[in-house]
This record gives sequence, structure tokens and C-alpha cells, in this order.
Amino acid sequence: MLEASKLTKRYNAVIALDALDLLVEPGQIYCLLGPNGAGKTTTINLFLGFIRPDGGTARVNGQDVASHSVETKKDLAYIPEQVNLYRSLTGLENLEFFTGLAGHDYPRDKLLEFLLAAGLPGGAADQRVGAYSKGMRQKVGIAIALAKNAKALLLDEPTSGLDPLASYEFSQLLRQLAKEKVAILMTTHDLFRAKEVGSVIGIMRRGTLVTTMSTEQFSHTDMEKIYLEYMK
Amino acid sequence: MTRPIWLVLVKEIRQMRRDARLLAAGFLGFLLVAVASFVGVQHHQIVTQQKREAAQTERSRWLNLSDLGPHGAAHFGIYVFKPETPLMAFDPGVDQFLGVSVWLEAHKQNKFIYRPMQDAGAVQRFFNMTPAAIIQLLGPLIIILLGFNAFAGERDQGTLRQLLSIGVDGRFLLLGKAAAVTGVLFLVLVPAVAMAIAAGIGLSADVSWLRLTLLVFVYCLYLGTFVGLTLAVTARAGSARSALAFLLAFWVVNGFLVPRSVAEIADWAIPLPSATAWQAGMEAEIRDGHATALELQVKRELFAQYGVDNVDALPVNWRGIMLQRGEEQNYPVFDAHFGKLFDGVRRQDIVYQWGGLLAPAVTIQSLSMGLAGSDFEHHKGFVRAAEEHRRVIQKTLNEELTLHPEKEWGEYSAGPELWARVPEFQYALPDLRDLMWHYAPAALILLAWCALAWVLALRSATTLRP
Repeated sequence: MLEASKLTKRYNAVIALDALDLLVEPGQIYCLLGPNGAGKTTTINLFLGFIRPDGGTARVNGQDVASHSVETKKDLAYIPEQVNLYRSLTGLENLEFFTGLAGHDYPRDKLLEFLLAAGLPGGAADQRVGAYSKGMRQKVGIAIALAKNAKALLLDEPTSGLDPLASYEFSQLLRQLAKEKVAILMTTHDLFRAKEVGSVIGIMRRGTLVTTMSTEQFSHTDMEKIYLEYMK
Repeated sequence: MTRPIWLVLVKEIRQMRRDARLLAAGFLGFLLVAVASFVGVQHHQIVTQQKREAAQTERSRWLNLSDLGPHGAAHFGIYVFKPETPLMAFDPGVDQFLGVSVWLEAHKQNKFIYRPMQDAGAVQRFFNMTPAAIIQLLGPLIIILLGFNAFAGERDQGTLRQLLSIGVDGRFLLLGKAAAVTGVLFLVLVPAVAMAIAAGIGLSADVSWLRLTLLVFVYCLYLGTFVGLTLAVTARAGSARSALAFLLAFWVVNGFLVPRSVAEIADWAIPLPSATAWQAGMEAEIRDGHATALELQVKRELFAQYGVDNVDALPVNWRGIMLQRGEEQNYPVFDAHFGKLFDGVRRQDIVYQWGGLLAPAVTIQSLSMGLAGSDFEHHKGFVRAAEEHRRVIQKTLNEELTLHPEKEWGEYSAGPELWARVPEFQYALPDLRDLMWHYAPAALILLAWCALAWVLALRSATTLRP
């Protein structure tokens, strides 16, 4: 479970995030939409403990991120827009390294299973990541999340730049994870993808969550209208 | 707890192994150190052998002197050679600037001659490629090149963000990366240096294991300081490029600017007289051992002591007594002038050691020379031992002359029996405990540098930001 309570972040006089209240339940996919500078990535960074809040709290499974930065990450997996891996290592070696640091010691077969489950083509596991496409790197990122057995997933514009097929496969995986009761918070510019995969959509503007809506209640067209209305 | 460190170490080594440029640079570094060590060992072996042979030849020449008066033999004199310590193969220190031999003769304490650097070219004078100099200068450079992008490079590539999102303690990352850098450095430096030290040890049975252990320890502290500093900087730097620029600037300051500046400052703060002025000052005070006044005084005392009124009636040779008296009256002059010079150099050395506060290279230079036995303190010890030996020679010869009364100067001729009674010159390295206080500032400052570097590194690692 991910929870923000009056979460605030300022950069000098600029308020990047203004008293954000947000709750992502296990099994829920919460999509944060908004233009650049709306505070989406700041929210993700606060949940990851990469920056300290100026007010309020970010909690992961009830634990305050600011005071338990290392512990809360044990329950988290993070997939950014660009999953950056070690280019001279193979996909399998990257997965082994990251999951090892997370405290897991999987045999090679199990690691290959995770890569396969994430959709990485069979022969790619032993190729160096330097030769991977962006989509393949995203899949290794997902494999890390799967292997980590994370209870919450933070996604920062994960489908940006992916081709439609890769985006579709990615959405399928997210649904699968949600079924496994993973709480997912995803920032995106892609309203269509948010409607397709999300259970709740929150619209942010200038550091404030201006509205939330259930994807089941509104059509894609309605959502687009609402979004544009708030962006005026 | 150690598994994350091991994982980071394995990952780092794997990445380095797959980096062709790094492998090539590492191999070149290894080659350079190996060549420097080999050349150092070869040179050390040749010089040791030459000194040994020269000392044997000189002793043989002394023992085979033809029959002549003891004072004549004293004027022939004998050369003694400063022995090479085994660790000088590793660090020849200031020894090559100070001279390797001294002529022990009657009446005066001579300066050292045959300085190896007299024959050296400008480049060699600027940077003499000894194993110690290689480690002192290239060791930090290798660490910087291996470690500057340890964190900053990951930050540039975005992998640090991925890494930190995993929830790993930054200190484990730091220790894993430090272990990787140290491991590669070990591979590049240690085999060649071990070869140098082993070859040096092979030459002499009297190697001090305590000195060797301490030498290894202080170099570990020095290189450990650079590992800590490099990782602290790369953990804080905004980019790998800025980390490299900062570290290279520090490397230049540490290896070149500060040591030379501090030496200049020490020279300015405690000026030493020029060799000519110092020599002239001493010679002005030396009293002539053959002076008429001394001769008259000695004769007067002896006539009174033995109740005689002419030298022919004396039961002893007045010349032997006069010559010994002449020697002894100049001991305080030599001791004062050499002592003043030594004290000046010692105080300069202390100033130099405190310069280590500005750069750790200054501390390792002092400690390395001190432990290798190639510093000025050891040179001073040898100068004193040589002078003691000169005094023993003169006393032995003058006493022999005293025992042989003569009517005319030069009538008594001594032979091989007397020459053999003059002991062979023996020199033992000063006890390390006597040097401990002298090098305490350098040792403490180096320890402080290492502690500071690692405190900074650990602090940076616990507050890592992507």
C-alpha cells in the first residue's frame, strides 16, 4: 500500500508538491496524469526517498519513507521511463545483481523464468544489455520487480517511447501484477494507456492533485475532456 | 551482511574485465611498475656488489700497506662505503643525493663523495623511476582512474537511481567498490613491488621484518587514503567528468606542487649554509695538529711528567701524543659544525613532515625513506659511525706511535701487524625505536588523512543521491 498524507515539497520558493493526499490500495493501479512540472516525478521520488519532504509523509505499507528509507524500498520496485542497466553485463547478470542486492538468491533457472515472465525473448538473457532495445530493458526492469516480489510498484512514465506492441505487453503485465495484489502507482502522459490499465486516475497540476476519478465511471472521451478542462 | 559487498565487487570486476581500454591501461600500468621494479633491483644489486667489492679492495689495500710510519698510514687513509639496505631497492630516498663514500684520514672529518645524482640527467632528477616513486605517484593515479566514475559514472548513466531504488545500504556499495578498486590496484602494483622487495631481501640476511611490515602498512594507509578520497568525491560529484577533474587536480597538487613547495618553504624557514660557506666556517676553527704551539705545549708537559729536558730522554714518542691531542682538540669543532648542520636538516625535515597536512604524498615520502633506511637520519647515523671509526683508526695509530720513542721523525715504521689491528668498519642500521619520534608527525598525519578520507567516504555513501 502506498499512502501520501499532506505530502509537500518545495524547491526554494517553488512549490513542487502541495499537500498531496493519495492512497493506492493493494491490487490497485493508480495513474497520475499531468503536464510536465505537475509534480508527478516529485511524488515518485518522495516515495523512493530520493528527496526529503518539506511537509507531510509518504508511507509504504505503513512505514514512513523519510525515516525508513532503506527498509521501505525492500517492499518497492521502481521502473523509470528509461530502465538503466549495466551495459557490459547480460540481462541475466543484471537481474542476478539487482535481486541479489535486494536480498534474494535465485538459481539461474529461476532468474530465466522471471525474464521470460517479463516477456524477454529466450535467447536475450545471455546477451549484453548494451545490445538491448528500450523495450527489452523495460522488461528486465519488470523482471527485477517480479523477482523482488515487491508489494508496491512505482512507474515513472514507463511506456514512454515504447512501440504499441511493447506498450500492450507492458499493460498486460501490470494487470497481472495488480491481480497479485501489488499496489501500483504510475505516472504517465498517456491518457489512453491510463484508461486502459488504471483503476484510478489522478490529475495533477502545479503540484496539486486537482481531481481523481475511477476509470470504470468515465469513457475515454469524457476523461480527455475533464483533463483538458483542468489544464486550461 | 557481506553478500551485498561481494555482489558489488563481482559486478565491478566483471565490468572492468569487459572494458578493453581499462584492461590495456591496467596492463601498461603493470608493465611500468614491473620495469621500474626490475630496474630498481638491478641497480640495487649492482651498487651493492660494487660497494662490497670496493670495501673489500679498500680493506685489502689497507692491510697490504708497505712498512711506513703510523702517521703516514693515517694520511693514506681509508675509504668506507655506505652499505645498501635491502629496502633501498624499493626506495633509494635521498641517499642518491648525499654521496656513498667518505675518506677517513688524519686531522679532519671529510664530506661524503660520489653522489649518484651527479651523473643523472635532468629528467631523472625530476622524476627518478623507483618502485617507491611509482607507487607514490602512479598508485593514486591508478586509483583515480579506476574509481572516479564509481558513483558519478553510475549517476551519469542512471544506474545509480536503479541501484538505490533496490534499498541497498550505500555503505555496502562503497565497500564493494573499494574492494574492487583495491583488488585491481593490488594486481597492478603488488607483484612487481613484491619482486623488488624479495630481490632486495635476497641480497642481505639482515633485513628487518619490522621495517618491511611497517613499510607495507604505511603504503596501505597512503593508498587507502586515495581509495577513500576518490570514492568520497565520486559519491558527491554531479558528474563523472567533474569528479575526474577534481581528483586529477588533487593528484597534481599532492604529487608535485605540495612536495616541492613544502621543501622550498622548509629551506626558507630554516636556511642552511652553502656547502662552501659551511666548509670554510669549519676549517677556520680547525686547529693544526702539527702546530708549533701544540708541539711546545706537549713537550713541556711530557718533560715535566717524566722529569727530563729533551725528547731523546722521553720513554714515549711525543709525536704520537701530540698528534692524538691534535685530533682530540678538533673533535668538538667537527661535532659542533656537523651537529649544527644535522640539526638544521632535522628541523627542515620536521617542517616538511608537517607539510603532509596539505598532501599525503609528503608523509609517505618521509616514512618510506625512513623505513627503507635511505633518509637523512640514516645518513647522519652513517656519518657519525664513519667519524667514530676514523677516530678509532687515529687513536690506534697514534697510540702505536707513542709506544715507539724515536730520535728522528719517521724512524719508526709499522707493518701489517698494526694495520690488521685497525678494526674493519662495521655499520648497523639505527634502531627503529630511535627514529619513531622523529617520524611521529608524518605517521600521525597520514593516519589522520586516511581516517578523514574514510569518514568522508562513509558519510557520502550514507547520503547518496541519484
